[in-house]
Amino acid sequence: MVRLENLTKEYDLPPIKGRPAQVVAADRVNLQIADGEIYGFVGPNGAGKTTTLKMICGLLVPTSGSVEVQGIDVEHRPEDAQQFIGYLADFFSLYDDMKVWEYLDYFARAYKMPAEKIPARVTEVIARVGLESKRDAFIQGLSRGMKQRLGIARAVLHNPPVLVLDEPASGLDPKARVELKDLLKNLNREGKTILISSHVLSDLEEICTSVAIMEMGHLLRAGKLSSVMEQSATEKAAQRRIRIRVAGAGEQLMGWLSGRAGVSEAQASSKGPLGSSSVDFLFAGNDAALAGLVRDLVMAGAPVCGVEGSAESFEQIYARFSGGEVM
Amino acid sequence: MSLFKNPEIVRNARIQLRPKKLLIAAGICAAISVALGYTFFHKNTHAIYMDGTYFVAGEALLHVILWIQALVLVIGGGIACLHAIQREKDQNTFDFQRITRLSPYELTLGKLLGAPLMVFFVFLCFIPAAIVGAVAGHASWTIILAAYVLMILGSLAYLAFALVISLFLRRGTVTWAILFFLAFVGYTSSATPLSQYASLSSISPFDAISLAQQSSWSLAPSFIQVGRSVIPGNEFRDLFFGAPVHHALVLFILYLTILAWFIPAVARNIKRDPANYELYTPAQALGFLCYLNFILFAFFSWSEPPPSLPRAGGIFSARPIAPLDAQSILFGVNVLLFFIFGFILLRNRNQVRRALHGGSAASLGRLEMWPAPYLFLGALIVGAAMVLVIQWKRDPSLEWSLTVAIFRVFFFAFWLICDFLFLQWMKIQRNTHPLAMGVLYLGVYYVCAIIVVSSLSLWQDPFTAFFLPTPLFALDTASWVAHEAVWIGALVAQIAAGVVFVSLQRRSLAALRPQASRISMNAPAANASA
Ligand SMILES: Nc1ncnc2c1ncn2[C@@H]1O[C@H](COP(=O)(O)OP(=O)(O)OP(=O)(O)O)[C@@H](O)[C@H]1O
Ligand SMILES: [Mg+2]
Repeated sequence: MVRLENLTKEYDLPPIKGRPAQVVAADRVNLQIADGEIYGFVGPNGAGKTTTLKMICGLLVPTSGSVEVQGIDVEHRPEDAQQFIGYLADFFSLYDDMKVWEYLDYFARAYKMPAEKIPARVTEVIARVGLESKRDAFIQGLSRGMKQRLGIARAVLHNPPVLVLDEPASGLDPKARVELKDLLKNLNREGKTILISSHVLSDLEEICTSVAIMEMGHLLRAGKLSSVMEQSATEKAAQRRIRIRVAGAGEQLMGWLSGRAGVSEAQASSKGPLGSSSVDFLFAGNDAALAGLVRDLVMAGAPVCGVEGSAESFEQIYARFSGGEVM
Repeated sequence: MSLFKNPEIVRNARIQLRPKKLLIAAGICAAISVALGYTFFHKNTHAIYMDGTYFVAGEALLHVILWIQALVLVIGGGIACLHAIQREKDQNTFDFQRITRLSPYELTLGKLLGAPLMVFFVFLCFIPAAIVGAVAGHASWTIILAAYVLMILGSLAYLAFALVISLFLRRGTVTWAILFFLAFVGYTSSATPLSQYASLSSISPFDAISLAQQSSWSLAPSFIQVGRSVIPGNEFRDLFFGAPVHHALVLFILYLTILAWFIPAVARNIKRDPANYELYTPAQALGFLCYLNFILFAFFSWSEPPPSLPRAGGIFSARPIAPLDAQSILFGVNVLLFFIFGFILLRNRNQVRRALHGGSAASLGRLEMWPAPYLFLGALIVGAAMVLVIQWKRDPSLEWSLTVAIFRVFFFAFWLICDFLFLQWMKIQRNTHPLAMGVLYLGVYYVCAIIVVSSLSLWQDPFTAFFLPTPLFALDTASWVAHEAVWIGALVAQIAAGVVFVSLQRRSLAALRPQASRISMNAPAANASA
């Protein structure tokens, strides 16, 4: 289990007149991450994800507050806590003049794994991230994505119960992304707790059990993926984009639609080659309200031939919570 | 855990000691050794061939090889160690080492012994040539062995110092650090910082070569035999509180104690967050100050060297130094030692902020005065020790006044406190290089004050003590009796300036308080956990 209690980190900013002297990169963050979760940290650039993850690993000392990993206070007993953590930084490099297996061998020794088990484990991990063909190659000659894989291999090498991965998918090609997702799911199935930050929100949505949405050092939302989505649905009426297709010109629906409650930003497309057109609008209301709207339309004689709606995706929820720019 | 199993050493060995590199290095060393051997044994045969032996040629070869080895160890190893930590930080690989289960000592020793592995290999490659030289030169084996022990220990002490520097280096400053390190090696190899007043020879590993030039372990003034003529050998003894001891023994203990100070200093920081580095705890820093002062007192030359001889090592009986002058000199050296002490104590914004977030009102009071209490304590301890040692060693026929001596201790303490309160205040300013700016301003102040004072020839005037501590060093009983009030006034002025800096620091601290920077954006409810 990982527990953050009032975790706060302030950084100094370069002295520019009129700018604040410091930035709060994490502001009293409280979080409990249960064993076996895949916990996603989402936020725009500068939200404080990296800072928070580094504090969890004991690499950065918080200004105040505390972190516990497996019941051990990270600040006061860093070495004891760190044996349970596998860490991958967002920006890192590897020792260029080492070979792939030497690199992993070094970290296996540094993590005090039993010497007789090291060669087998190194081989196993290399296979797991698909670097078998590069086993004896120098790291210098690896591509960006291969280095990223080697970094992931290093993080999981000593079989830690908690994995902290800061943007592990960056630099990976689509195939490798899928492989990474499978790897993470497998590790999770083996009982590992995974903390992961990413800008690729759809990646997180697929694998995470819980998410924390951060912005400017604040935790905007945190919890089970489903409950975060629900929470948002009840709090503000969720708006979703609806498209109604009609056999014939869509313009005639416009006047009718714009008078209805919950409808906004209605836009009609011109007639397509098959003689049908569509109207897009934002609709605020639940599914029952939408059914009512469609029924009224049909009763009014509109030639409705299709209704397409999308549930609000995680990305949209996130974009709405966050005032910042998503990159 | 055995050193050879230290993962950090294994890693360095894998990177540096690849067979191809080893072959090249060994080849170069062999070529140099052979060339030197040829030069000494053949080219000048007629000049140095004596009694059917290669006596002088062998000795010369041995000394040149020793010199090369010391140079390689200190300079090559030093540069490797200067890079050891800084490069990891520069290349973003350090966090991964910090998070492993390597203990701080393993990591420190791994860097200290691992980074210069290639240098150690080159050192070994020259051993055969040294053996040839030693055999041909009929060298004493105990002395050569001791010379090697000293050379290796001494180099390690220098490497540990380089590692301490590496720990604190910022991005892009390693070139300056190398230049500083070279200057430091040069300076400590040529003479001790106080050759005039200390009965201690130079302390660099190059001294091992001087040891190898000794013909015996005798403490009597030694002589070197060059063919049939005899020339006086290098002095290889020091005076420890006036008693002669062999310089090799002094070096041996000195190197061990230096290592015992530096290695733990690196180890206690190496796995920390760099923003929270603290070379020593305040109590340890105080211990370090006492250690440096112990060396100073032990090897202080309690008699003035005769003007004709640059360094007498105390064996020529000389006029003793007047006790008050001795105190002046000891305080003069202590300016440097206290600056080292003070810089260790200073805290950066990050550390102060953490203290403010977690601290009580009482600790806040301590923050405003930081680092005054420890400086005061240090000055009292060192001052008291100084007065006691002088009481013990002094010549009763020369002028001595306990009142003046004690006043000096207090004045010295408050003058330093004032400077360091200023530097601490500067260091928590919002600035890219706050401490560097603080040192710069302080330097400019002293340079200007010195220019004005010297142009008015007021060096020893008691009123100068309001601005500069220089008259303190010339203070004698007569001046004290004549201007007692002025002197006390100057002391009060130092205290007043200190109070000003404390209040300035209080204002800066207020800006770093937690509330000042908080803009509450969201209700605590939204912060709730899953
Ligand atoms: N070493 C530092 N010194 C000063 N400010 C810093 C430092 N590191 C981070 N910050 C600031 O802290 C805030 C949070 O940074 P952090 O790197 O944690 O964000 P992030 O969420 O990881 O962003 P990204 O998505 O770009 O990786 C930013 O405003 C950043 O400017
Ligand atoms: Mg980041």
